[in-house]
Amino acid sequence: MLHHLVFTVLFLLGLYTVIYKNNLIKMVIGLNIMEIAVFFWVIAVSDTGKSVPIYHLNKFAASFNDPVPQALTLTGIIIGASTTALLLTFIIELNKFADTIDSNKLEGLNE
Amino acid sequence: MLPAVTDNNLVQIMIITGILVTLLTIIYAWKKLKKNKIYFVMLTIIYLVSFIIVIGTDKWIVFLGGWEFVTLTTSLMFAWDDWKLVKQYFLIQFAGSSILLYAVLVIINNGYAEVGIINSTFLQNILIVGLATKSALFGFHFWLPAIYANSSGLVNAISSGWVVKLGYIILLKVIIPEQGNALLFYAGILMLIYGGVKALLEVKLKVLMAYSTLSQLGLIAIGIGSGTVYGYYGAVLHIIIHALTKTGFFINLDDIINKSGTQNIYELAARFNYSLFKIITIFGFSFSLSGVVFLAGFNSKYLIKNSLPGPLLLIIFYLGGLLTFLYTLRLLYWLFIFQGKQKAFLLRLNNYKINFSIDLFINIPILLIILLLGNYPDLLNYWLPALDSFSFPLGSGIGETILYLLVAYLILEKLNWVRTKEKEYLEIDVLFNKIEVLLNKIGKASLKFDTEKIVEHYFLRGIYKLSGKTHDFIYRSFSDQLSWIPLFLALLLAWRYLV
Amino acid sequence: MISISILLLIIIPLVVAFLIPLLDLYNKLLRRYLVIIGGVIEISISIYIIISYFSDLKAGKFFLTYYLGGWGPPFGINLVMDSVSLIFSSLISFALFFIIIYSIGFIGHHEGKYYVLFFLILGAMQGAILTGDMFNLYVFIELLTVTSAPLVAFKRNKHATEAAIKYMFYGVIGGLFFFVGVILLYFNIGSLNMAQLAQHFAEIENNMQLTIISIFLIGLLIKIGIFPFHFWLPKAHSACPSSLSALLSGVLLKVYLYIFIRLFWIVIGFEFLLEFNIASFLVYLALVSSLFGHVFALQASDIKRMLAFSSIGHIGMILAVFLLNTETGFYGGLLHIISHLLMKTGLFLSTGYLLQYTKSNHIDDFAGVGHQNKGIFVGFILLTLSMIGMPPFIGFFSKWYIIMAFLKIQHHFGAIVVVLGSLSAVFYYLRFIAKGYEKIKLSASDLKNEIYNRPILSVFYREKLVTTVIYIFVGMIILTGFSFRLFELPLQEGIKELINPQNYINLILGG
Repeated sequence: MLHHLVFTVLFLLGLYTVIYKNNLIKMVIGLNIMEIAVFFWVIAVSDTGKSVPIYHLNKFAASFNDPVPQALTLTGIIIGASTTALLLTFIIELNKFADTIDSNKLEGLNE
Repeated sequence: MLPAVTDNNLVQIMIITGILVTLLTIIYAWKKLKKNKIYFVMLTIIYLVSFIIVIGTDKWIVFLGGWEFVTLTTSLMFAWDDWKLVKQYFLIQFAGSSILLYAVLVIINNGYAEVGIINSTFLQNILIVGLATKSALFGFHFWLPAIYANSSGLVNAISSGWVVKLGYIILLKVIIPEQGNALLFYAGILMLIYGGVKALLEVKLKVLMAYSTLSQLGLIAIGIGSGTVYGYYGAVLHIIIHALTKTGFFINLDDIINKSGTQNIYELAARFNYSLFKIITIFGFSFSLSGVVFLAGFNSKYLIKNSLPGPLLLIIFYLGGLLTFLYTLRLLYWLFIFQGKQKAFLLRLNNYKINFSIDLFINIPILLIILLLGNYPDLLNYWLPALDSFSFPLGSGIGETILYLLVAYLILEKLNWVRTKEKEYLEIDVLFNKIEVLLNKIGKASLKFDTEKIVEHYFLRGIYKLSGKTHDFIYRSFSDQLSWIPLFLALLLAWRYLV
Repeated sequence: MISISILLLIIIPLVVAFLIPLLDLYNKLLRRYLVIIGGVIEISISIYIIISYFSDLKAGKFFLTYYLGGWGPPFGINLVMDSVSLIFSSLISFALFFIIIYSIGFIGHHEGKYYVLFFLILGAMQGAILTGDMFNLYVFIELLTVTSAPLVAFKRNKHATEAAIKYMFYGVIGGLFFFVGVILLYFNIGSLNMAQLAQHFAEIENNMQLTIISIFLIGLLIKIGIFPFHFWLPKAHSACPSSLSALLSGVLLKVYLYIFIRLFWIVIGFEFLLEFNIASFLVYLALVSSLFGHVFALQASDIKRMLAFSSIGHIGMILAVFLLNTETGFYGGLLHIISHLLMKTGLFLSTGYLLQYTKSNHIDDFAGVGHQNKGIFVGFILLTLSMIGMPPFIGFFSKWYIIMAFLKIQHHFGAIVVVLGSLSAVFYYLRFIAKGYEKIKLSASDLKNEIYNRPILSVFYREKLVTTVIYIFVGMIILTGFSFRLFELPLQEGIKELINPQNYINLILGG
């Protein structure tokens, strides 16, 4: 039950950061918090207290955890890393043009 | 996907009339236009094909496609006068055909898969409203004078001569002759009286003709809506005759206006040197319009008159007929008689010049047809066999005509041939201006009068302003935009408890 | 039927994308030929599929599949092509082929990066359409976001970078919601195969069903650009080069629409949307979005922004007509997807050409464009006429069937929105057309200004190519207008599949 709570708190925290922070980098951090909340939650839920999956020495174990969510999470982390990198690149680029990363001062973001 | 042209006789005669009228206009266009006349002719031919499709098809989708094409081609024809007119005309007509599209789809979804008789009065009314804009039905006629006033007679001839009648031709196919339609009938009576009065008081020639068109369309609407076979065939006959007469009328008037350089009917007589033949032509056309006996207009009016049910309506009809006589006589008076000097008119009668292209190819054929149809209405029997069963009392018609002419003459003499002041602005402009002033009451109270400005100002700027306000209302800061997401998520998650 | 050709549809663009940098090391001029060859191969595979399986299509049993790595369902990832995917996939190959040719004449700088990203988008679009696996779909969606965002920022100025940042924020949030939805499906059913998910979705507990539906809805509505989430769309679609605007607005939005259809008609049955009463709410939401799109387009003074807003209007309309869940609705929606793809792509491409002769995208600079480029401007006008639904262009017929679908079930609000939309379209297009035909008189200072402010890259590499592509699109809207019945067969087959999703499940799982 605890991981559901942690997930909710982290996710909402991330969403709050994305929506109400004006610093674009902080907004990206908020986005990352949201992603990490999801990944944490997926791993936590998929852990049913059984043994390590697909481990050769483990073949006599009666049952093991589902490995698929971990694979999915891994893909998710990769995608999250690349999107974050891309976003940060854009922010650096924008800083060159506009000399600010404050979303309040960037009227163009509102259009 | 060629349209299925039914071998319905009505459709045939309508298509023949349409082609005839359009050919006459092409002849005039070839003579008049200087630039790009080949394009105009091509455009007219596309228009010709599309109205044949509109009249001939029995598939709704093809009908509507043809209808939109008529809209497109006729609006492009205004380009020879002014691009702004193209814009305005297209906007108005497209709005009208959007309503028509809606109406047609409602009709299809009620089980009428093909263009044909519709039994439900409600659906008929929906269709009438849909057709109203292009057919200039009462209440939707506002564009007619405004557009005609600024465009050349060439396009007016096409528009007034045939395009406005397309809607009524469709109604002929849709409405049952024995039942009629009350909405159409009363709209027709309103149009007849209103158009007549407005035409009587108008000074600008084109606008006068526009209102005259309106009152004649009223007659057609009365005929179709009356619910008798008399009225129905009267309407058919009147569509044919009015198409021919108005086309000829507009072409001749355009010629006169171009040569004299004015549209004011009080000034025309002084500035234009009429030939004898032109005078005869214009007299012929006007008398046919007002329904003088031995001319074709008399027959259709006689049929429509016979369709009327009660004495009250008959009186109103006679009043409408009198109005027609009044405005045509007044027009003739001011066209030919310069400041009340009748002698000058007689002096002009020895100008025997004949303008070949207009007189020979346009006026003589139309005059011939009017005369022939006036005296031998059974010429159309092949297409309209029912005409055989009606008898046209030409004898009593003489008396009636003389009475009409006499009364009209007396009234006009009494009214001093209705010399009104030229109104600088059309009523639609006045209306727009009133609304505009109302909206801008604080600040600039008096705006300059100008049709262009008012359309641009009121319509377009108003719309952009409104949409700009909406845009600014929805588009707030980035964080506000993003906060729609949790809001919406919460709404969806709580959906079960909300609904 | 197992066929490797559908795998090739995804592989070929990816191969081309990764070959381009390698080829650049050798000779940069060869790049253009490689790009054209890639496009040709892609379109010829599509044509090959249509021709060789035409008899199947006619018999109503068109179904292609491919098992990646030989693992059959439900274990491996499988690629699936049924009639609906066939329509979308071949439309994409077709449109992208012409956009590639256009780009060769249009994009003059940094071509290498452009084409790498472009082909990645093509591969990802084909993948998103053809995949039969939920998580694979998520990966392709993310790939679309990641590859299209740099292209949005392609112009490397303030406006474009802002647009890309906004695009990324919305895209990442949408993708994250999609990820959560996929994970929830997996936790509750234990599979990622679409057919299997479809089979077992009814067994999930009621509350969880609603949660899954709403999470997917948010993710996809953000991607499609429906009203409360449309804010990224006009900015992103107007900031990028026109060839890319055509891709994003004309093609990519349809891919997301396809994903929406695939998800809510096949994987999650439409009956669940009805059960939770979400369907009618969504119809109204889409219609309101459509109305807003058209209203916003009225005030837009940037022509590309106007076109993007008009896209919102049309996409909302298509979504609404699909959500009616009737046969006429599907027919109108699919037909309008085809027509909007042709029209919007053509419009953006011709706008891109015209804008090379103006200082900026603003309407005031648009003055006199019609006199300079007569042919293209006439094409532009024809495309707008199709957009407002004038015969004989295809726009008229698709509009007709959409209104028909609304009126058939007495949904008058929808029909009125469609009519009003096309009416307001007349206003906003006429504004630009009138401006384009305005006569301009240049004073000396204007002329100076004109010369100094001209975009440096206004020279086309191959102007003939650019104009030819535009004329092809204009020709297409006229041709398809006269012969829209050609699409009857695949459309009817597609409609059958949407109405009966059980068929899809049986074909994949071999029931």
